[in-house]
Amino acid sequence: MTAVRADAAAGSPRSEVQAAIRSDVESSRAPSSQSQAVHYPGAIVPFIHERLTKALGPARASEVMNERLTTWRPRPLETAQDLLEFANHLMRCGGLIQAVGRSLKVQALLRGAAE
Amino acid sequence: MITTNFDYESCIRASERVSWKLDEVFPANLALDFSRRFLPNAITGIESLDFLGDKERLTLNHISGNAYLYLFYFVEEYIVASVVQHANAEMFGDPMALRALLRFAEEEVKHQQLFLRFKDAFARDFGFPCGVVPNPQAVAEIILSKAPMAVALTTLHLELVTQQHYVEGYREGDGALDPFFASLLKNHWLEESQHAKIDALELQKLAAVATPEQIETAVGDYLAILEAFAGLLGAQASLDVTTLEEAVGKKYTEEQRQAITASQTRAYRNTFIILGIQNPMFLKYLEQFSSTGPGRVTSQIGALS
Ligand SMILES: [Fe+2]
Ligand SMILES: [Fe+2]
Repeated sequence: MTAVRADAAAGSPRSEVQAAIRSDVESSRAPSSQSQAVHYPGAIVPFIHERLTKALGPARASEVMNERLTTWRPRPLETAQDLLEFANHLMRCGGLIQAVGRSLKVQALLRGAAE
Repeated sequence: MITTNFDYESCIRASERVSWKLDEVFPANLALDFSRRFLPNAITGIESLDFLGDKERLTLNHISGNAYLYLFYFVEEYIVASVVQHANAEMFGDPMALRALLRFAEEEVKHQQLFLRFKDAFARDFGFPCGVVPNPQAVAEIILSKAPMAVALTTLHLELVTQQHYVEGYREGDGALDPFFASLLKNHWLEESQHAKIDALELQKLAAVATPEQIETAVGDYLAILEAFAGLLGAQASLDVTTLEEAVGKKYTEEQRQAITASQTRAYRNTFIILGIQNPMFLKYLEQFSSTGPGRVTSQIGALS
């Protein structure tokens, strides 16, 4: 019974998951013009954006990308080392974004980046 | 740039076609038959030890066969860890690559279980303790500390040689080798041939963005891994002599012990190292991203033999 009450409470893990699913469904239905454009210099920016889009859907990916880039040092994203540092930056978000960050981090390490 | 005539999707299809179940290839509690050789003469070199009688040669062949499979179990420890990293890098990326890499990892863990099942059966049926080099985890740690391109190159090398081992057995014809052991060589190779292709595809991705310095380092690290592996194979050869003495109930002279150790070392190094360095596919892929690579690695054949 405790579990049922906790699930029913606002802000419980389950209601957060449901809210996230609703927002994902809505964002996947939304026309792509509703996703924000990402303007940032660097050859690997589209690659990171694409990975986030596969994981989070277009609207949320653009939102996360822009939010993370505003708190990122002003430097283009070009090399495997940049990818590693940006992946660490993504990983601080937790959850699914952290999973994308972790995968990008492995990708960077395989391409010669060093911690 | 590495060019291939296959992709991840064709590797998955081939893998699905040839995939086997552990219990079908090696039923639990199957008794081993020691009446015939396990390994082909071409990869053991035992025939040159003319002071050994037929029974001693056969026993040394069985000891080598046990070590051969165990050494694959040993190197597959790092291969599993490496392939899981490559799969992780494809999360939210190319689903075909992710599937191919996950199948690769699953098959490799299955091979490890197969080889451990053999090791247990050998320990049970051979009748004498059989020494094998310890601690694959420590070796995996050393290998994985090297440049990722060097690790991928080493894996490609090892996957390619399994085909040569199977073909050598096949060449000796029906009935020459123990049919069960020959089936293990064949089944291992059947899945390894996809692994070699996936290694080439992964290497292609890494080489596409590598700097000339990173490529130089990768070739150097690959040679360093082989050098460490050559040392390990020498240690296995020394253990084999002691096992042979116990199994045949005889003490060899110091000169004979040295001759057996040298022959076993040469055979293991040829089987695991030299056949890989000389493999035409290996050299072809290496040359596609490092024009000096083939010359650099083949110049080390003498030192690694
Ligand atoms: Fe294997
Ligand atoms: Fe393999």
